[in-house]
Order: sequence, then structure tokens, then C-alpha cells
Amino acid sequence: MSKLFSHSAQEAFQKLPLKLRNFFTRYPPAPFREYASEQTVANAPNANPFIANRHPVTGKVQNPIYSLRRQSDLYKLAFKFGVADLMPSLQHNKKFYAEKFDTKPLLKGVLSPKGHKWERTFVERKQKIADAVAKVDEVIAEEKGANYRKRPEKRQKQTSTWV
Amino acid sequence: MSSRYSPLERLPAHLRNFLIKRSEQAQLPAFRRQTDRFVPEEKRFSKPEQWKVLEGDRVMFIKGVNKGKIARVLGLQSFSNHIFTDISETKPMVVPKQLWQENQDTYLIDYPKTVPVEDVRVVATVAREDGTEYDIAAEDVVFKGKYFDEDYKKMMPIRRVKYHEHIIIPWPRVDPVDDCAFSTPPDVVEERTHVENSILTYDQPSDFSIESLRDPTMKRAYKWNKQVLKKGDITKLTPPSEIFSETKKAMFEERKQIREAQIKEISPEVLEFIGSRVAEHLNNVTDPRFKQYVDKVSGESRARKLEAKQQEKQFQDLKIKEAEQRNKQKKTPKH
Repeated sequence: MSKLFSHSAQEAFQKLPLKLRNFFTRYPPAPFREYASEQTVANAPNANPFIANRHPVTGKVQNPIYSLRRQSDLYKLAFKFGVADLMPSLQHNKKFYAEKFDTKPLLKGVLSPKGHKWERTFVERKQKIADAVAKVDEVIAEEKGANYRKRPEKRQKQTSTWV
Repeated sequence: MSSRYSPLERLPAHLRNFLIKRSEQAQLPAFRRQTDRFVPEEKRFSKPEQWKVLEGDRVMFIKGVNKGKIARVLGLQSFSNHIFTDISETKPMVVPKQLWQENQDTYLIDYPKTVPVEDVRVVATVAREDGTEYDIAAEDVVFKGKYFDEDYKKMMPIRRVKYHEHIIIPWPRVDPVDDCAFSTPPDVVEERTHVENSILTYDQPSDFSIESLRDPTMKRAYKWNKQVLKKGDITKLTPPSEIFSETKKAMFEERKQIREAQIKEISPEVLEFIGSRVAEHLNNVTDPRFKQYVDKVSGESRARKLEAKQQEKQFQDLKIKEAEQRNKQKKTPKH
């Protein structure tokens, strides 16, 4: 397939939607300005516009400058134009699309599923049976008497040594 | 009962109609009202925008026996929202001898019937660019803009043909009204004779009280003899100490600082940095649908559309201006 665009940096920037252009004008990306990933004072130089920050004087928590919906809109637009990584981090390091699924912590139930009771006790029960089988001759001998005690030795002798 | 309403108008519509019908039935046919339409006072036309035609206008009938004929408006019948025209149907009417005109020798006269405004169309003369004139009957008129009319001595709306707003139908000329002995000369009208010094204090005599303005025989005088002020009264009577509190002022200052600190212009380095990243992404695009999407959201097509619309509007304005100029040149009083 042939390529449909051949833009310089200047032209390509003008292709961005106005919403995104305005955002990047107000909040230049990472090498030019760093943004905190945690709550800070609202007038701090690294205050993140996507996070609810505290007022410097009253200490009250203010709503983020961009609401959750607007954050999401901006991020998804930026993703379409390949500049999603230039956005400040979202609250609680929220991610979208593939990244969201990659960084998703595994659930407890997925990591160690509880299972049924027979599944949980399976190994233990098998071990118990194996132990019992190993000790079976002694147990029988104890029950049946002295004659029977010689039986394992006889059986040893009966084993064929030829092929 | 307030004098603003006649007793009839205060009644519900069904009862009013019943009474009108009863009184009509009691009359001789010749004395009966010409129109059955009763127009309450609040629905009567008072403005030129409501009438659409004024005395002296030429109109074309679109209904009745005179359909298609062109007549001149002789007057407005305000109580029925109808108009008198020089061509009209007549009906016999009995006139008492005290009201006889000159050369009248019978009680019965032919009285002209009025026409509702909806049944006529305004006729206007339009000039072509080569100077020839032709008549048009406007299906409807709209009013856009206002001007001061020297003859009517007031602001009049500009009457235009609907959907052809560059065609202006001028209002008919009226005979100028002569000033009477009690008229105020125009140069005195706008002269200011009183200037207030303060909006808080009134320029009134010290012994003036608001009670003196009230009716001394009113029934509920106690209403005004309030001995106790309630909380709401005190709030209303107490002037505010300051309009904005210190906290509010601090907030305004803070807002101002935030506004000033905001970056309004993108720096060329940032633009280059982001632009290169976007270019890298876009220049690898092969999906024509994505290209369509990018063209749409980038706002270029919208800008193009807006520009075209603006040009169209400019062209239309120019056309209207030219037509107005033409109308002004050709405007001749037809009366």
C-alpha cells in the first residue's frame, strides 16, 4: 500500500485536532516540562493537570483541571496520532488499550485458584495412599502372624533373574 | 374592577360569545355588527409590524369577489384588525337622521365592508437596473432593521419581501402633522431639565413621606403600618458593608496569576518535537479511512467551509446594499 501522508513536522502538528494542539501548548511534554505522578500543591511547577491537587493556602483538594472524561478523550486522541506517551501520567497511573492489559495486576483468584476440595487435597491423599501401600506388608504380617512375615523374603527369592 | 378591562372582556370566551350573539339577535339585521370577529384588546394590532400594511399602501386581494384586484388602503379598523380599501364589497346599513351626510335622502346607505389583513398582499413597485419599473405582490413581508421616518416622526421597521430581502417596500407617505399650540418644539424636547446628584438619596422635600402618595381611604391601611421589622426586611434595608470579601479578592488575584502563568503560544522547539513525532506516525499511514478521519478532525475542512460561508454572506450583503441604493434612488411618493 502506498503511503498517504508526507508531512514535515510543522505540517504534521497542524494535522492534530485543535483540542490536542491546545493541550500541548499549555502543557509541553516531558523533555521540556516534568509532571508529578502524585498529588502536589496546585501551583507547583510540576503540578499534573490530570490529578486532583491541593490548594496551596487552604489545603483543600481541587478537582483536576481536565475531568476524567476529558482526560480520556485527550489520551485516546493522542494515541491515534502516536503521541500518547508525551501526555502526563493519569491518576493512579491509569493506562489505556494494550498497555492497560499488559500492566494489569493479576487477580488473586487467577494466581492461586481455590479449586474444589478434592483438588486441594489431591496430592496429600495420594501421598497418604502411597505411604500406606509401602507399609502394607508389615501391616499384614502384624495381623496374620509369624508365617506370613517370611512371605516377603520368599517373594524376593521367587523373582526371576533370567530374561 | 379595573378600568383596564371592559366587563365583556373579563368573561370567559364561551360566555362572551354567547352574550354577543344574544345582543346581535336582538338587533335589526341592518344594525348588526359587520364582523362577528371579536378581538380582545390585548390581541389588537398596534405596531406596523403587526399590521404589515398602513394607510396609503397598495394591496392585492387574494380572496373574495375582488380577488386579483389592486386597491389602496384607506384606513385601519383597530377593533377588528381589519382594513378599509377603496375597492370593497358593500352592505346596506341604516343611518339615523342625525348622522346623515350631505345630499343624503334615505336611511339606507351602502357601507363598505372591511377586509382582514391576511386576505391581502402588499403591492410594491420595483425598479430594474435599466430604469424600467414593474409591480410585485409580496406573498409575505419581513421586518429587518429600523430607520427614523421624518413623516411618521418615529422609528419605523424596514419592510422587506420575504425570501427576497434585498427588495424593500417603502412605507406609504403620510401628510405631515401640523404642530398645535400644546406641541413641544423639537429643539426643546431633548433638553434636560433635571439632574440627579445621587442614586442613594432622592431630591424630595424633607417633609415628604411615602404615605402621602397613598390613598387615604384604602381598605387595608394596616398593610403599611408595620411596627415590627422582620429578618428579611432588615436584610433588605441594611446596605452591604463591602461587595467582595478579602477571601474573594484573594481568589480573584489567584485566578489572575493562574491566567497570566498560562502558556498561550507554543514554542517552536516544542512544536518541532511533537510535530516530528506526529509526522513519523502519519507518514507510515496506509489506511485511506484513517486519512479521511485525520482530515476531518484537523479542522481544515471546517475552516474551508467557514470561509466559503463568509464569502457567500459578503456577496449577499453587497447585493442587498446595491438594491437598497437602487430603491432609494427610485423612491417616489405615490399617494
